[in-house]
Amino acid sequence: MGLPRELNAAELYRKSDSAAFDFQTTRDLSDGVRILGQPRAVESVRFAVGMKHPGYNLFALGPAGTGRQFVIRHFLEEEASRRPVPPDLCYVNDFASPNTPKLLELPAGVAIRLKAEIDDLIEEISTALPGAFESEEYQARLQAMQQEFTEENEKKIEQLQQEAQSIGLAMLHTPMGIVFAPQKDGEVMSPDAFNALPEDERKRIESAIEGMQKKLQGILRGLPRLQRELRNHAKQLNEETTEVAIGQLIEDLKQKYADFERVRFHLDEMRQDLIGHARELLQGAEGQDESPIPAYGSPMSRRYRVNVLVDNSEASGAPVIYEDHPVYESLVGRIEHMSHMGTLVTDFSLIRAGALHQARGGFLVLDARRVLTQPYAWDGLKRALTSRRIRIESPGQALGLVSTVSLEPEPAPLDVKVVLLGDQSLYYLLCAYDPDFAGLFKVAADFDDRLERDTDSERDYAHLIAELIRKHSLRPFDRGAVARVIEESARSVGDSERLSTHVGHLSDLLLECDHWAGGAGAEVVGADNVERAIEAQTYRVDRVRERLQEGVLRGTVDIQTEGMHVGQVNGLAVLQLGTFAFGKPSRITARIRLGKGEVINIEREVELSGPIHSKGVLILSGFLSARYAAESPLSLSATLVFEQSYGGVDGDSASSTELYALLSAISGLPLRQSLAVTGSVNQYGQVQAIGGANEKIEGFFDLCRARGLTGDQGVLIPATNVKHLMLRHDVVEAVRAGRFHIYAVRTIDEGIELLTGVEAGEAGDDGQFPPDSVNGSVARRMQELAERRLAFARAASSPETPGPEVST
Amino acid sequence: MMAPTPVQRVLVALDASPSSLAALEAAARLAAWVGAELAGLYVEDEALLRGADLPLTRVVGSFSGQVRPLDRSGIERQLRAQAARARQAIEAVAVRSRLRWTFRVTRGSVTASLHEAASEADILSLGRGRAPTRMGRTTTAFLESSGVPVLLLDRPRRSGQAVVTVYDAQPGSDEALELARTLASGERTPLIIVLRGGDKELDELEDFLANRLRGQGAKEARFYRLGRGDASSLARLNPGKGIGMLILPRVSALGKGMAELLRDLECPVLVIRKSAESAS
Repeated sequence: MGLPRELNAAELYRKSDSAAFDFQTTRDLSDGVRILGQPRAVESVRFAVGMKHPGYNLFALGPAGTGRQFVIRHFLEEEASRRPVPPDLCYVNDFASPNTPKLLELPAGVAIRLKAEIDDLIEEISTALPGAFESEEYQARLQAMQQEFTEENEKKIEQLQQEAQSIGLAMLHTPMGIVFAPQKDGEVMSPDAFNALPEDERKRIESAIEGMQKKLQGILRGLPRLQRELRNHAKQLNEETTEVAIGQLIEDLKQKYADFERVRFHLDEMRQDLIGHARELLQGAEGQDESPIPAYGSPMSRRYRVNVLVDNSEASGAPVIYEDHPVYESLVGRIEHMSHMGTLVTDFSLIRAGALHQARGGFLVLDARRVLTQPYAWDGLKRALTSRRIRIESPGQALGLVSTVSLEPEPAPLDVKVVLLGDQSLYYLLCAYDPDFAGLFKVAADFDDRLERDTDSERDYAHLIAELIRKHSLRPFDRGAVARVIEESARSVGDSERLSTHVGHLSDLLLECDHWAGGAGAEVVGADNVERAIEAQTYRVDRVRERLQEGVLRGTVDIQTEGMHVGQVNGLAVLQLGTFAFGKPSRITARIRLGKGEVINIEREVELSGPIHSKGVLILSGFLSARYAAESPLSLSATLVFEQSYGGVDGDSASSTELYALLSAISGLPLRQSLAVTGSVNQYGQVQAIGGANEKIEGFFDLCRARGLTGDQGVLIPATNVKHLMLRHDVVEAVRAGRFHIYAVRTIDEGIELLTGVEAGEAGDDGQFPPDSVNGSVARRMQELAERRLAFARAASSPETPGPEVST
Repeated sequence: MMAPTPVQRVLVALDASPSSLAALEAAARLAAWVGAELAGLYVEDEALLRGADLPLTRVVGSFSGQVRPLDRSGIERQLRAQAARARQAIEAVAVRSRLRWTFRVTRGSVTASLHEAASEADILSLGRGRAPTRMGRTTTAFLESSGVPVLLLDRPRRSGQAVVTVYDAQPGSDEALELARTLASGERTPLIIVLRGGDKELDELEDFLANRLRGQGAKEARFYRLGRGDASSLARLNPGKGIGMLILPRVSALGKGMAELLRDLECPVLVIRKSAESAS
């Protein structure tokens, strides 16, 4: 079988070949946008952008900082510049029904012109109208009309008075009304005189009075009708006057907008409304109803103005809108209110556009998480996309909770492509729990967080670095610095054959490199500045790692890095604190005794281990039984534990380590404490890849170096993890000097041989292991245990025979 | 600036109707500028009381047209209430304008009571009321029989309204002009003198008056030559602002009926009927 292969220094770190770069500093690299990797996502974006059909909205999924937004923006802007400028949108008053303002959709640039011209028109009207109503002609006609009314009334009263006098009655005015009384010689008759009259005469007078009262009542009842007639005539006069004053002004404007039917229609309605409201408007213009907020103008002028919601007069293509605060109202628009005499009022001029209005005919980019966390924003967005119309209503209205009178603007037709940016988990959750989602966002652009590392991609990466340097106005990086940044990118994804696409982290590193270069007074950022930046990054977050290592060095936590010990081996765990991960050595021990074949994982018993860890331990039982007790019962009880571990553990990366401890405990062969082990194992004893190999190796190295490297120390890693190695320079240098060793282990046999210094031993044709080998010792011990268990079972069934002594 | 006119007392006949209360304001301002006392008079019309004594007397509501019974105590209450309102009104106006004032309630015939009161006053002011033609007859009767100048009030004056007087060199013209000048300079409003007479006389009149006014240190006055023309053009004398008060030497100074004139002008009119001799 033999020992595992020891790795040489070159295998521990894949350098980037700076000599292969065709530039001296990033300044030599040409401008130009390059999209790094992401062929699948780019294809999806292209597809979604090109699809004209509804529902082909895009969900760009991937970790933040992977350049999603950059890619999306790049393609959207490219496509948008090719598309025509979408029409303008404006709302105008619906004079017949002010609660439902009308929408005008006009070619780009026309809305703002129409608004200016209507403003001018209002200005003109506000001078033309008072002129018309102050004109002599108007005043004379109005006075004549009123005079006619007054005279007609007075004439009737006068006639009644004369009639009363002619029949001997006086018409007297009292504060309460009019009294008819009999008179004699021009004076009202006294009661005595009246009573002295003959009965017939009194009755005649009484009936005459009643007759007069009825006539008076007839006149008074006719008054409202006369007043109404007067009002109607006055109204007609007002309308005629207004028509003369404004008719031509509006007609001129209609000519200008002859091509736009809805505008012409609106101007006609406006003319009718102006004619009907001229007097009120004049009163408003006299200053009574001026708004307290000057910008809003008087109610008169507001009534006729144009509220431009979307003005594309300056646009050169379709819009690309990024709404970074996607609350409900900033998506679908809102209706503002203003305070007027202590109450809140609104009209069509207070309608405000939302991002969907702005993005009509183009693209709207939103952050999925923000949309989902804003109340009703997601529902509002879906409703608009489904109905393909933007209906502006408050969330209260939309939910049917508010029924006060408000505006219901005519909905705007919606043709927009929405791009949501979010992480993978959000996308899959939406797929699973929102039945509308799949129908509305048919395209997913899946952004990867890494790309394959080769000469081409390294060159592209150098261009990306140059681009970012330009974007942030940093010092140029020389070739060595670029190479070092690329190496760090590979290290950050824990794979020497991959590079990170996380542009956010890359930008941070470049900024920090520039900072340190500046501190060192360098004009060009060199590899040493990059190294300094990386060290500083680590140092800033390194406190916990240092504290843990301190615990080991001071003996509080017992980890041995020298000597041999039975049933005890150094395992390696990775701790992730925020963005920083580091390796932590951990002592794993195993004890065995006669038993019924169970391997007890103490961590699991106290619920300090996760299911993957438990699974790894159960695999060990499978391996032991199959290899050493295929023909007889597995007659041991083993306990495994992570010593001095007070937090939980998970993952199966310690399963090979636990197996070594177990084999040592069973065989009684001591293990080298100068080595640490990582790797998972399968039921056939093959060692399999694990994560965090770099951090684990460095974790053990740091401990050994702190205690002083003996030249004997090292780490066993799975052979399949070799390609992931991007180790720190100090580790690489120690290996190069032969002061630290890293072994690529393929099987448990290779590992146990290295750890015990005893041949592992292969089973012969008879299935027996050589007696001096590790396996031979394990098999013998298992056999002994099985026999003892059998003897023990027999003794138990015959009470006379004392039970055998058992020891492990 | 106090006027050197001999006006001591301005008598206001009040009936507490909106028009008479509005007219009160104009009378008060006149009184203030000539330094006179404001005397309020409310006449309880005995014809009304007599009418109320008659059996089966009914009143027809002037707005509703409803017929309601009416008795003497009811009408007396109403008259008392009206008199109280009139008193409050004159008091408020007089206090505000810092005027001496009196208020009196009499019972009897309206015409006779006014005549009696007018004999103790220097100017009698009357509200025009709602129906100009009817009131016109009452006022005409007064204008013809009263020995004192009569102020016919219509609506409160607004600032900037011109004081207009008619000058025809006949008796009363000088008093009218003097009063107009006093009012106009006191209220800093334009003074417009309407000249009447033959074409030849007009030049002389204007020179004469202009000199006289300059001698008195009066502000520039505007002259309007009406000649023997129609008075209806007077309505447009002060465009935009209108006429605040028209002071006439006599009822017939403008050659047309008072009722017609009032209808055209819609402004307070003060008619000086007394001769200069009797006023002093």
